[in-house]
Amino acid sequence: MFTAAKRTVKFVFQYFSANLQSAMEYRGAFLSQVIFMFINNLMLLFFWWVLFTRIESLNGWSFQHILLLYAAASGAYACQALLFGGSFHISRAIAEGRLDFYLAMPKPVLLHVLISRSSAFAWGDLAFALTIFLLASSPSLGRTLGFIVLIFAGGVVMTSFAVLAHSLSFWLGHSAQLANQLMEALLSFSLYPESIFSATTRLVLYTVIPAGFVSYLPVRILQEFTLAHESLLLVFALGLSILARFVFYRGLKRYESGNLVVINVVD
Amino acid sequence: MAAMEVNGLHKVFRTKTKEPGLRGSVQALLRPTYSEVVAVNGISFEVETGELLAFIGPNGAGKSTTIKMLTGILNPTAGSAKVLGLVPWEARRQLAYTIGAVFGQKSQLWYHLPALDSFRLLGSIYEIDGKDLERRLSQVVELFELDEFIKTPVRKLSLGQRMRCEIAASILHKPKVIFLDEPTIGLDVVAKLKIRELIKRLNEEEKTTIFLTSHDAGDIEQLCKRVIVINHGEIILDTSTSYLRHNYLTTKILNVKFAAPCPELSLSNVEILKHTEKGVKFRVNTKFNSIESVLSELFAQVDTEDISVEEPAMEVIIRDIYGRPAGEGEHNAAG
Repeated sequence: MFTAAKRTVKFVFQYFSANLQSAMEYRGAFLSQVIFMFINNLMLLFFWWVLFTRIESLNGWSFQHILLLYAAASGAYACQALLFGGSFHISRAIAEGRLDFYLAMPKPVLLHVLISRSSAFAWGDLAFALTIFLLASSPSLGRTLGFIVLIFAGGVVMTSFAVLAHSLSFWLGHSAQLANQLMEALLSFSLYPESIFSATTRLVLYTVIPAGFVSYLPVRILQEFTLAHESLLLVFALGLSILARFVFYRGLKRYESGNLVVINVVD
Repeated sequence: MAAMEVNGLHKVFRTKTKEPGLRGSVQALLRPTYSEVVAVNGISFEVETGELLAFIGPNGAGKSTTIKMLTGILNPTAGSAKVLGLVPWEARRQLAYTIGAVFGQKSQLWYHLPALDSFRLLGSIYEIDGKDLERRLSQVVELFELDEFIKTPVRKLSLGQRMRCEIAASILHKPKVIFLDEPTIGLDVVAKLKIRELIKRLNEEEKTTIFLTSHDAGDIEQLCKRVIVINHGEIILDTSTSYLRHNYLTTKILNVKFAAPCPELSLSNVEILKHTEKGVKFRVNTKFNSIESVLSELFAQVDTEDISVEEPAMEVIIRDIYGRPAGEGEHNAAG
């Protein structure tokens, strides 16, 4: 059991390292993507800053809440894109028969697909998330580690949601566009304060489109830690990942491969 | 001992059909219709341990689908199969440690990284550790002569060099069986010869059972002792390569470029397809006339600059197999 876990960690690390090396082959493109992503995120915050120079709070949310919201959402997105970047491409892999490669290997197909890619620009998101977190709260080692746990859990929620959305391709055919729209909806809702939505919408945002677990709940935990909230987040992330795994493997039974010419290129 | 046992393997794909044009697309959207395509139709065969078998047929014959079922990538619609004693689609991951696969059109190497980095990653996928991996890497690099370009990013390799790396990548974990799906596709003559030589060495030196698909008759002639011909998902011939060579691979097309203009040329027992002052293209039936004697006759009349030999196309071989009367040739599965 311990050996198997050690081998899995090594396998994940080796992939992460290969993806990073691959991205750094083009030094200029890598650095510019990272820097521009950081600036792009700052621009989004700028508009909120302008708004909060005119109002004191938005349904109880201050600018500091917004900073934490952005830190949590960008951190979660960075975790997904850096560690499980393959989750953005599952639909295409299904439609184009690219899963053959993973099926011919002795590792779990879903994990292998998820870690097969890593998006270089997401280093900009991660740097942004950590910077904003450190600016918006009184940082300590414990709080920073706690923040990393939160964004990892948020990343697992986003990845699981992506797996569910992209697995629709097993039944609907090439539905990458639909999956991407669902992912964008999740990310967009994660970047607005929970307090502006009605109770019904909030219910949707804590279930069908789980933005609540990507950013709202982490913001609450960052403001006032409770074991109940932390446990709720971790249990939801675990439960959603189990559901995503189940749906993916059910769909995989319908996989029909293909004969497209394929090469391994990392973003 | 049999490395593979296949009995009545059958694969049907359900595909959406639509009439051509926009109207057809709208109709298909509102009321989709489906048809069934039989990709593999009840094939049965055995492959012995250490055998180098050619599994050939034209495009769409069912070669790749068969390989995908035998590697566990696809579930069959009916039938049974065992590879190294395991049912591929039930014990896919367990089987993956003991088999290798190269799909000519799908790369397992990282495009932007040197092949060596891909090999190390594959080492961790197959759980080959530290010194074992280093030892195996040096064996594979030597066997496939990769030293010169193993540290060059894959995107900068020629197709032939890339294919050598692809095959090397697939044998890192010392598989007992390797499936090579069109390993020479798109390669030039020199690269093809190199790949064939390496496949042969792999079979002889590592005793690997090789299941080779190709629609290049040259691959089969030079590599395999046994050949299975598949068409429309059915095995139409399961025989020795020498039988195939003497009965079906009897025509070769020679393209000759003259060193100096030669308007007049007389060659016996050949079918001239095209003759200009600069060159000649003709078909030889090796059953009645050897290439050697035709070339001697040619060299006596003209100086040549370049000569190339074309194998008969797979479609021609298939047509020829179907054209034979039932029962001719003991192994003719098409009848």
